[in-house]
Amino acid sequence: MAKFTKIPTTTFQTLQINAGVLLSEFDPTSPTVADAKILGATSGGINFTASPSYIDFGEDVDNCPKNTKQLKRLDDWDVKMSGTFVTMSLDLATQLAAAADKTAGSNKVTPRRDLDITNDFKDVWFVGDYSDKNGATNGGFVAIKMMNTLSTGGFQIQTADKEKGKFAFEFTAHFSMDAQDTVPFEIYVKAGMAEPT
Amino acid sequence: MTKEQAYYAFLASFEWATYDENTVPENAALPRLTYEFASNDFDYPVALTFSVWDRSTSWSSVTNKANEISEAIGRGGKMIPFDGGAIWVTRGTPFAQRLADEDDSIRRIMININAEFLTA
Repeated sequence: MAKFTKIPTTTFQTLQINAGVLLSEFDPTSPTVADAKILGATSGGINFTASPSYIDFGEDVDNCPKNTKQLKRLDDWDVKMSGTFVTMSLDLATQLAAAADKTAGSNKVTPRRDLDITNDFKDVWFVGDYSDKNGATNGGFVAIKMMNTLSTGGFQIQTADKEKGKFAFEFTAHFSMDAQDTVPFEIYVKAGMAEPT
Repeated sequence: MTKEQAYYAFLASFEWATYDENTVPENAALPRLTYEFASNDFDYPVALTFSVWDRSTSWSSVTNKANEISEAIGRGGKMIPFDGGAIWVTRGTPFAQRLADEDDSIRRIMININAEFLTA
């Protein structure tokens, strides 16, 4: 066999599989998926990116090579989740419209001109299957918590003849003035264990 | 356990007599499950089929068995461990289809799956 044509022998134990699910709440210490916490069904998988942006203080310094590590500074994080829902509810429509209110006891969502700092920013969780043990009780997971998430893609619907409607979305996580050093995402990776007998 | 043995053990766990479709004994009883086997490298899934057979004028026993297998595989697929890896089995499309037999007292459903062999 070619010497350097190899993959880790533990590959099958460290794969993330399947599209995962978006939740409004999730506890990594007691990992369950409550049906009422699923934001909606998705199609085509889910995309999450956390992109750092850097400043190179050595860029305009004479005789200093670009990308000198001692002069590199992390400036910011751009944290986004995007995909396509194929189901819709009044709660999800309100969340996708971002600055909007659901009228209690009705089927109406009313957008606003102004953001409500207290209610419009919510946590969103991505949770996906992980590892070779994916049982209902002890299945492994990769989870990403996005904090202070706002729908920056707005409310979108694309219909087609004889097909399901598609609701493209983009969520963006936000820093908070109350915790300016807290980057608004966390990643959890937990290997599964054998199911109880 | 090899991957061949692991795949056989998974299919045999559904408690019908299980045979490689190339070596079904002439006097093999019904109900039974027959399967093909092929493997490939990591990252190259293989489409496999197996069939559930029963002697009956009703489709219910083979349909129930197909549903049981569908449930066991689940929406996200099933990992079947073997020494040094695992087979990730997912439902194919279509998952289950009825097939005619020249003997009208035989009922057969063919099940389509995808199998990826997760091994170094």
